[in-house]
Order: sequence, then structure tokens, then C-alpha cells
Amino acid sequence: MRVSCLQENLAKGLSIVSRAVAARSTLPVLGNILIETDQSRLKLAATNLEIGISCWIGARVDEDGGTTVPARTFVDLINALPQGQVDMDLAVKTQTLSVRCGRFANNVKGVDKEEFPIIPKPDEHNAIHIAPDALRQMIDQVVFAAAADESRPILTGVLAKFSGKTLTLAAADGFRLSVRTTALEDGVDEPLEVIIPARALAELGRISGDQVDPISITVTPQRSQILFHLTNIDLVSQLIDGKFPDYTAIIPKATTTKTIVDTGLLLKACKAANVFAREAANIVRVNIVPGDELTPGHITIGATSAETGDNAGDLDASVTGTPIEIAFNVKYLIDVLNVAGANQVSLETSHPSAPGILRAIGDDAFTHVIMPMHIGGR
Amino acid sequence: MTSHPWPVIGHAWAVLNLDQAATEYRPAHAYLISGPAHIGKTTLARTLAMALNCEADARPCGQCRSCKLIASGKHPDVQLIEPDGAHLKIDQVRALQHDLALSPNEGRFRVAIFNPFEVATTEAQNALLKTLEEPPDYAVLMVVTADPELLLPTIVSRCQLIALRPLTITQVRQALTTTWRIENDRANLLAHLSGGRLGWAVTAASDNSILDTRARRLDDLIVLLKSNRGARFAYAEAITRKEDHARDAIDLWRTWWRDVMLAASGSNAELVNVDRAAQIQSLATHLDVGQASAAAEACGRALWQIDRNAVPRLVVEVLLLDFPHLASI
Amino acid sequence: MTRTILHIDLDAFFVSVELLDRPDLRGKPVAVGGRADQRGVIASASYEARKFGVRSAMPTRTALQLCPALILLPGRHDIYSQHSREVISMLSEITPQIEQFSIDEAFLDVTGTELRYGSADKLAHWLHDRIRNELGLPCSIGIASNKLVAKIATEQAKPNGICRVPFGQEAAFLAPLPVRALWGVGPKTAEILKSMGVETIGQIIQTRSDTLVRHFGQRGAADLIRRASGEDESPVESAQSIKQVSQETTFTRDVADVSSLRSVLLELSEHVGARLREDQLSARTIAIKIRYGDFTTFTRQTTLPQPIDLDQPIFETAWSLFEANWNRRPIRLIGVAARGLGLAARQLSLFEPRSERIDQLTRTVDQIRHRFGTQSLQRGSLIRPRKKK
Repeated sequence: MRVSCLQENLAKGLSIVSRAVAARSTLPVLGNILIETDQSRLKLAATNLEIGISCWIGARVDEDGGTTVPARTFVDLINALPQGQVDMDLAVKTQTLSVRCGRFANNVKGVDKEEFPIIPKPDEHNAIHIAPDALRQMIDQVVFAAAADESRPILTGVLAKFSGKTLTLAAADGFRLSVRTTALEDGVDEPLEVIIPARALAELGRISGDQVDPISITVTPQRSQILFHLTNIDLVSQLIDGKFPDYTAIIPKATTTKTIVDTGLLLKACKAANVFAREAANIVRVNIVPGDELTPGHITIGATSAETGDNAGDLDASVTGTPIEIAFNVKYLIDVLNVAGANQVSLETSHPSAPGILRAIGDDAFTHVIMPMHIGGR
Repeated sequence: MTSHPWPVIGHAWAVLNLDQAATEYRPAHAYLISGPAHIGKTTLARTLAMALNCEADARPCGQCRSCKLIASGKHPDVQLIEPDGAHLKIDQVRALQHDLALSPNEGRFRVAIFNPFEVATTEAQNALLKTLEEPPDYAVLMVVTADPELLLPTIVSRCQLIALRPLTITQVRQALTTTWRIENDRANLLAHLSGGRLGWAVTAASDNSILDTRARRLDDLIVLLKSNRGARFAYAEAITRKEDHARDAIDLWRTWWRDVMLAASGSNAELVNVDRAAQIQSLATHLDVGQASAAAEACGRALWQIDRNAVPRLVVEVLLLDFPHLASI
Repeated sequence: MTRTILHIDLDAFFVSVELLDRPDLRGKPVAVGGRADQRGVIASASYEARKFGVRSAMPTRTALQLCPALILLPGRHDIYSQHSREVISMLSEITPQIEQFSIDEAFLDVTGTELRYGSADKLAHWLHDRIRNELGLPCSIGIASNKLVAKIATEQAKPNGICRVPFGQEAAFLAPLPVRALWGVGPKTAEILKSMGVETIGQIIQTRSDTLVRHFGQRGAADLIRRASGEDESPVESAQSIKQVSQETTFTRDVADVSSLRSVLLELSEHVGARLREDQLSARTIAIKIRYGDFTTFTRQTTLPQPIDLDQPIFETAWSLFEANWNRRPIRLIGVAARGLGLAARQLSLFEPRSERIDQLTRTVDQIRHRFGTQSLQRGSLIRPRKKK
């Protein structure tokens, strides 16, 4: 392989793919980045066997070929080089990559690319297309609700349901559920359900910031991988095997109290309560009282800590139904209010131990369910 | 004759069974492969992984990308899980469970080989039970152990059992001469000494120190038979300084006393220590069958005690005192 | 600010309590402990018995050999607890800064009480007299600027005395004492120190610090030097900030049988769970304590992602700790503790209404036990088969 490219392009490409480098693995080659020519471009790729990211950068290819180089070494080296042209030349026999830039000459010891796992290529014929900003909003509103701990692997994933012209993403960590639907640019003939690791979608959200054209999505025929094809970047994720819990059964069909309140004010009240709640298992008590002809309804968010003190934030709200006092984990409230993306939200509740529903007013496509906290013994 | 392309020597019944499962892509979710050390348990497990993921028609071909990666331990879907320090730990099982939740990367099956599983902590074994109960369709777990009795019974009951036995001397000799191209005399000696453990024979063929150590320990034994108690005690102290040395030596001496017993009884059965036939015959003239068999039994007893955590030095002291005293040999 | 700490230790506590009911035994060698034919040990011995060499934790068999006239009484722990509570409540009148260290020991931080009670010496004598006159129990009191030195001072005051170590004299006070007198110096550490020629606490300070570092590591050595100099910053931790809810049991005979240990651990877990729920607390950390027949003791703990207050998860956590750490030797004492306590608030689950039912069941069981006694409802696995005659 003999190839030349610009240091700034190489550095940017590496910063994208190196997010998929395995931190530690039983397979040493996963600590490496694949670097190979692909027609008249240079392809960089990394995988941790869960997420694989490939990135293409412009280059002058004098001789085809490729190798894998240790990520840490290579990334540090490229970042340390001055801006300008980088010339790379691979000695195939020793798998040594010579990297020249200006008056810097470096040799990086590589590992044969045959050892590198195969990262599948997208099949553009069966691709589903979606606008990048719509997909990013879905990711923002859903991924945070996936489980962080691995005791139930399926809950670390996000359910993706393609049906007709809509895509639904749903995630639940056992205590809360986030569901968002959005329209697809072109529909699917057959409904399709897969479970994508939340980490992969979070990564996709991060690398798609500059994307303008629609993102194309394909699932491999064996349904073992999903591919997201962006301009010059591919992200491939393994899928999680298993059956996602029936989330539709979790969303209450009817509730007894509906509270509509300003999103920003509620978020502020929650953040103030969090100052005390973080010392006390994150509990906030939410007290909701309907208004009458003369006074508006109220929602009060309060927290008490034995050590640091207590607070209560009172907000005017439009309340219909019966009064209720219910406790929530304030972190869960803050998480969802941060991404609700509407000026007003509605909180629907029925009972101190029944799930609450939070929706964005004017946006039916987003639904969030939070289980309350149960306080005290008898 | 079977036509399977499995590069496994011996264990015909097990290979037949696994080959059929691989051919139909219908492996059990979990296998428990048991048998003495160095007889090819891990090789068998790895070969099944190759047969399940091979890209050729006659599987395993040994030539395709998948087979090569598995053979070199670099396949992304095939993991060999070995003890981390003295034990196989729960974190290792949890890491595997994370991987098993994801569909395979390149192959049809994700294969995990635990070797050896008897050193897994109870926590780790319990954690694995969950996976054994509801594994994903593409998962194949291979639990390798010297002795299933050392595992939780609940693990054993959830696995298909494959008990491997030592190979015959002829099988080992043939494998050494044909596959490893070792010349006949040496192959014959190694086959006899191996006790049917091909893995041991192959290692000994390439590592001369193994045969050198054996020769030295047999010479030591002859000297010990002529020595007084003081010298025997000193030897017991010396050989138990390093873990495993005593066990290896006693194992060897047991084969030696068995040979002497055979020689003393005038039996035609084949000796293990074929290269020392003359020495064995001469020793047999100084002893009767009962003495030789008592010494062999004492070795067996000593091994049993060492495996159950008796203090090795005391065991070897008692053993050496049980050996006959022969002033003139 | 210089603190003033009192350490109060009730002398031969169990025996002293027994003597309240049996004045006829005064002046005689008396001990409370397990029976010799059950491999029992001495829990407490009168000073008359100690003259023969009888010590607590000594096998009763040995004690009887040393002192054949020893009068052995079986323990009555509920009575001892009652007397212990009376002492603590009397001490609590002085200051809320009180830490009950064991059934017969407590620390008091009396800093700043001079205006009300006069000097620490005076306060100590007054307390000493009150405990003897009003509760009939002898005690010894140590006074110092920290808990470490106060406790060692009490040892020097025994029996029935008061010992004060003036501020600034801590190191000089400790210097001639054997290293074992120092908190945290067990037989192993003492052995190592002895091999270095160090037998008194004073010699620890004189030892080159790099020598100590070589044997005990950087932190271990620094800690040892600090304590040998009589420095200790640990606060008196009052009951308001209770650190744990725990329950332990000592076997009359050492136990190595897995299923017995399992059911004992389950029983202890239920006790701990019931007390958590009673106080509306939940725990983030579960710990177990194991003491083997040779008195080596250790604790192991694990912290959970969610606070718990139900028996089953407490037991499951304790059991997995036990399985991972038990070396199969016979066990003399076993305990379960819940730490990292907080207000009992549970995040309800979306998918597992089952756990809510278990929760409800546990609380109902608590109520029944509260009304009808702990034995009224038991798990099948805890019911012991009746012995056949």
C-alpha cells in the first residue's frame, strides 16, 4: 500500500473510528485500526465486535493494500504531526507502516489485516432512508432510558420497529420507558423488529452531527447486524438476540389526573429539588392540586434531606382530575424534561404506585413512562 | 471408516456424534467434555467450533478464514475462557454473557470453551447456570473438565456429556509418525510413556527437558532403593519444594513399579518404560511380585492423598519408606 | 480543639450482673460461659476467677482445669442487654455524643461539659459512683484526648478504677505497653514486630520508618506510627447516625454443615430485614461476619445498585458473600449486617409486579410477627425437625 492524504483529514477520520476501538479484549487485533485503500479513497475502520465504524477520507492512492495499526500509537502519532500531506507506505512482509509528514519519518508496526474482523457492507437495494435530524431527535429522546447494567441484556438495547412508513424506537431500563415514532422517507414492505445496543445508537447520534443527506439503514439478511450508512461514514452494530418486553402493555390506557405545566419551569423546580434529593435517594415528592374558578391548579416539587435541608417549588399548572401526592426519582424527571423538546409537558398520574406518563404537548409521537418511588413501610 | 475431515486423532465415537451435529447445524447448547489431561479435549471442542463456522462444504476444511482464525484463537465468535489466576471468575462469565447477547459477528455460532471449568468459583458456576438454562439459538457452550464430579451437579445435568478416554498406544504412535513425522523408535517410546495422552506425547516430542526429567527421576528411584532413611527424607524434602514435581514423579514411579511387577510375574504384557526393559528385568530378579505390586499401590495411594490436599512432603516421606530397601542392585 | 473522651467499660459485666441476683457468690471464682462438654468458652470471669488464670474466650474445659472450684453460670443475654440499656441511658443524660461500642463498653465525647460537670476527672468519678450505687455495677473509666488512648487507659484502670492520660502525654503513656495493647495490632502484626525486635509501643516509634514500610506498606506503616504515637481522629459516633443494623449468632458447637449455616443466615437476614422495615430504613450495603473456631474473624461486604429492605435480597446477597468467602472450616459465629442506610424508598419496577407482591407479603409477615411473636410464622426451611426420643 502506498497512499497520501492530508493530516487534518486523517486525524478527523481517526477521531471518528477510534470510538469503536475495543478498550480491552481477548482479541488483540481489536485494539487496532484497519487502514486500507478503497478505490481512490482511504478507508479507516475499528470494531469492538459490538459496534464497528468505518470512515473514508480523500487520498491519492499509488498502490492498493492495507494493514491494521495499534490505535493508541497511530492516533497519538497523527495528532502530533504538523498539518499537511502525510505519505504512508506499507512494507507487506514486516507489516510495518512508514508514515512521513514534512520532516517527520515514523514506522508503525502493524498486524496483518486478515486477522481483523469482517465489517459487513450495506446493501443499498433494501435500504430504509431517514432524515438525520429526525433520527437524532429519536435517539436523544429514547436512548437514555435503556438499562446501563447488564443483568438483563435485552434492556441494554433499544427496540427499533419498522412498519409501513413509520419507525418506532423504544427503550426501558425497568423503571422508565421512552417511546418515539417518526416518519420514514420511504416505507418498508415487511414489518421489521430488531434490538439495537443503546451504545450503538448513542454513537450514531454523536457521529451524525454533520450529516445532511438522509441516513440509509439496512439489516443483514441473517438479522445479526444493522448498518447505518452516512456520507463517508458507516456504522455497523451487532443486534441483541431475544424478545423485547411488550412495552405497549406498560403504558396506562387511562389516568385520573392530568397536569399541564411549563417544561422549563418544571425542569428548574426539579433541579432545585435535586440539590436536596441527591442526599436522600433522589426522592422528590410531587403534590398536585386542581384549581377552581378563582385559583389555578398547582404542582409542588419538594425534597427533604436529613443532612442538608429541604425545599419546595410551587408552580401554577392546569390540573384536571383528582389531587395526588406521588414520589419520583428526580433524576428520571430531569432526564426526560431535558429532551422533551416542547414548551409544555403533560404529566398524567393515577396512584402513588402506578406509572406516570409524561408527554410533550403538541407532539404525539413521544411518550415517556416513569414508575414512581414507594416511600416508607406500611 | 468415516469420511469426516476432522483433524482429531482417536475419540471416534465422540467425533462421529459431534460431526453429525455440525453437519446438520444442530449442536446441543452445551457440551461437557471430560477426560484426563492432554488427551485432546480442547482440540475436540475447538474442532467442533471450526466445523460449525467453516465456510467450505466439507467441514471443517482447516483452510478458510474462519477455520484459520479459530485454530489460532483469533475468531471473534469463538472464545477460549481460561482461569484468571487460580480461578475462573464470575466477571469472566459476565463478560461472556454480554457477548452472547449479541448475534455472531462472522460465523453462524458463538462458541465459548471453558477450560478447565472445575477451577470456576461457585459464583461463576452459578452465574453460568442462567445461560445454560436459556441460551440464544446461536450459542454453543463447551465445558471442559478433568472430572465432572468437581462441578456443580446442576451444571452437569444441563450439558450433553462427552467422556473422552486415553488413546491406545498404537493410535498415539501412528499419529506421532504420520502427523508429526517423528521417527519410529522415538514415537514408540513416547507412545508408551504417554499413557494414551497424545497431547503429552506431542509436547514431549518437541521439549527434550520432559524426557530428561523422566530419565533423571527414574535414576533417582534406583539410587533411592539403595539409600537409607536419611537420604530418602532429604529427597522427599527436595522434590516437594516445587508444586507438581512430586506428583509427576510418583505418577512416573507408579508406571515403573507396574512394569517391574509385570516382569517379576513373567507376564508378556507390554511395558510402559520400554527403553528401560533391561533395568526393569534386572530389578525384577531382586523382588517378588508382591513387593512390586505393593510399591505400585503405595504410589496410587500417595497420588490420591496429594489430590486431596494432603501435605506433599509427608506423603512422599511415607511413600519412600514403603519402597523396598535393596542394598545390591 | 482538644477533645475529652471518656471510655467506660463495665468490669466482668456478665458476672457482675449475675452477682446482683446471687449475692451469695460474691468473692468466689465465678464465670459465665458455655458448658465444657459442649466445647463452650468463657464469656466473662470474675476477678477472683481471673487470679487462677481464667480469661474470657478461653475454652471452659481449660478454665475448669485451671480453677476446679470455678462456679459456671449459663449466660442470660436478655438480662445483660437490659442492664446495658440502663447504663447507656444513664450515660446519655450527660451528652448525646455517646457511642455504644459493645454490650459493656461506651465512648462519651464530653468536650465542653466542664461548666456543667466540672473537670473530666470529677465527671468520671461521679459517673463511676452513680453506676455502682444506682445500678450496682462496677466499671472502669479511661479519659484521654481520643478514643484510642481512652480505651487503652481503661485497660490500665481495671478493675474498678479511673485512669486519665493528660493531653500531650499520649505517646509517653503508650510507650512502655506491649504492642498488643494497641488497637489493630493482632497476633500476626505482633509476630512481625517481634521479629524486628519490637515488643513495646515505644519501640515502634523508634523503628526506622523504611523498615516498617517494608513490612506493612506505606499506608500500614504510617497508620501504625500514628497510632503508636497516640494519635486518633475518629469521632464518637452517636446512635443518631447509626451506621448499621446487624444480627449475629454464636453457636454452642462449631458448625460446618452448609444447610444449617444457610438456614441460620436466612434467619439472621430476616431479623435484619424486619428491623430495617420497622425503622423505615433501607440498606445499600450488606455485610457478613464469620468467626472460625480459632477465633479468626473477618467481614466481607458488597454494595448493591438499589437500596433494599426485603428479606430475600438481603439473604441472597449475604449467601453469595458467604459462598464466595467461606473456606469450609467450622464456624463459631456468623452475622449479617445492613449498612449504607437511608430512608426506605424503593423505585417501583415497570416489569415486575411480582416483586411488589413479595414486598406486600413480607410486610404482612412483619405485622403477624409483631402481634404474635417471631416464631409465629416461619419459612419451611427454618423449621427444625422435632427430635425423636
